[in-house]
Amino acid sequence: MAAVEACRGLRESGFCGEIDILAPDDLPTYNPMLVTYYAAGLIDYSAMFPYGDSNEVFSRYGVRLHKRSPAVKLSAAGRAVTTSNGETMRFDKCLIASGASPLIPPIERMSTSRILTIRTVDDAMRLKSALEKKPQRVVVVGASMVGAKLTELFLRAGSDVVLADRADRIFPLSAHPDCSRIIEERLLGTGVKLRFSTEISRAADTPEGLEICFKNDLEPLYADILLMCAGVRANIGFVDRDEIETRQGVLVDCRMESSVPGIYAAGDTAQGTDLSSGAKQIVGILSNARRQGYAAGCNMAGANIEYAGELPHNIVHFLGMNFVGIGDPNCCDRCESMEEGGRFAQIFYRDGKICGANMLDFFSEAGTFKNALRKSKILSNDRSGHVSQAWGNWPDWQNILARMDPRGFMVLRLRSLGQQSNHISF
Amino acid sequence: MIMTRAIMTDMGRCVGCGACAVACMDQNDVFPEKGGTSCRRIYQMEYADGHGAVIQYLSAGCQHCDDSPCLIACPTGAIYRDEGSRANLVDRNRCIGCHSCALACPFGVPRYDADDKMLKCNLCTGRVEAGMKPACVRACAFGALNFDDPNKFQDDKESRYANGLAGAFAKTR
Repeated sequence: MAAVEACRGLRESGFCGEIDILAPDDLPTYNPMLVTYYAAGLIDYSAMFPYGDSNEVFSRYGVRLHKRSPAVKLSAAGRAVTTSNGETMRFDKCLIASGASPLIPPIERMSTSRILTIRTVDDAMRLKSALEKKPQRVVVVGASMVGAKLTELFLRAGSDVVLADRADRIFPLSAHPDCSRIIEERLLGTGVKLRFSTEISRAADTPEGLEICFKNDLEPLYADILLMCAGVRANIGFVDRDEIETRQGVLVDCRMESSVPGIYAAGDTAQGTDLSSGAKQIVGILSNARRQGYAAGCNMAGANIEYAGELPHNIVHFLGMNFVGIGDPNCCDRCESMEEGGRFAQIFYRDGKICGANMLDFFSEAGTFKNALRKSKILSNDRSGHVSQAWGNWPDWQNILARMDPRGFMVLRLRSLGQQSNHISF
Repeated sequence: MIMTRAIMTDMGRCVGCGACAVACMDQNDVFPEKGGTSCRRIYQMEYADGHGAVIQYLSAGCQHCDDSPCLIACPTGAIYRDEGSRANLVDRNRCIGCHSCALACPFGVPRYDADDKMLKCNLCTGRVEAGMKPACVRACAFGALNFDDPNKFQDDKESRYANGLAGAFAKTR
């Protein structure tokens, strides 16, 4: 997705030269987020490819697509990339947008057929097939957004589901422990079993099914399917780390340029600015990938577009719940919570300023909050933090919470923002 | 062919009566008792302007942004821009109810029906094609909502400010 947006940016910025895309397979551009939706039957196969067969979009941007030609070596000094076919292609500018792959913990595996990962189109096909067989016992490893969706899918298919994670709670990267506890209580109420603070050590086929052993001397579990969704890792194995500065991904500046001029990165491979902490992080969100890709494309064409960065944010709708995570709850020094009619909201503060939030069954205000916070973070970098202070010192933040009256109207009270007001009188 | 027009709220005239929201629900067959909500929302804003407390009302709906965050965040392409009206519309058949648009929209616009399909203002394209105003605009008794060329709004706004400035200078003489 980032690569397609980069092509758009290149052409819209007046680039008339040649564009080559190296693709690992012969599939059109697909969205990994749609894997669980396809498996659930909510979309058909073709809907996993937002650009259709991709021919139209690549033709529009005059792109040469090299199918089944993943990059295996990138020489920044030599300005060349080598593909798996042995072909070496020279470039003037290069974008690394090679996506990410599922992270599989190092476990002793005596079987692979019953272990599924959740990322690719092939994964989607296998998951759909597994779901149609209505397995009796399912273990999901990774209490992430994907793990939550998988739990829902198999629970609805009538399976006994165990959700496991090495962390001590659900959504460890985006939910505060208080919010996690509420979600876990609701999950337990649906019959899901939770097994946290432990890691899988071994998975092997036995007559009773797939035996899954855990560390900490816990009793093994027996399952028909083991679903692995314990995170992803950027596909940057072909990048020479001595040439280009990398950590989890390729480190990029606000122009999406790496430490080597002329080499850019976007999407799940790019470690750009996390507005929540100010640190360099991979924020694996579709809109972020698209905006990064577009900015990179424009800059490759000679423009000077800056992309300030993104707040980590996620929304997941599962088992009748809506969970929203904004920012990193693990780096706050204070939080305020409010529970009202089964809805839960929590605002995180760091150094007296808002840095994130959790909202449970409260999505209607999530976008307003997230965008205001994002804007305040961007402005605070440029202009003495005035807006950030206005939000951070808001003494009565509960007023942002919606109160729906019987007619379905929402009344939102905005406290004084002082000079932020656009009220002008003569 | 629909002209490229937009719904503009004149905050100086909005009294927060909610007639626009009711008209919107009526137009779109929304039933509040079944959990449905209007595509317009009425905000009450309180702030101090140095002379005392000020209360303003704002009737807000989808802004049909050019650089639409919801469109960019939609994983299936269900949200698209209608080239004729320049309205951002939703293809219900492609919407998967993931709520990504809810987290993307800075105006809190997306709503979801009983089938978890996204609902939002479509600029009353059916009415406009038939030569009528959007339902919310027609229902506004105070002239706070208008449906016209955005450039005309800007011209009117600049004229008002210019007149205000001229009046202020005249008072100082």
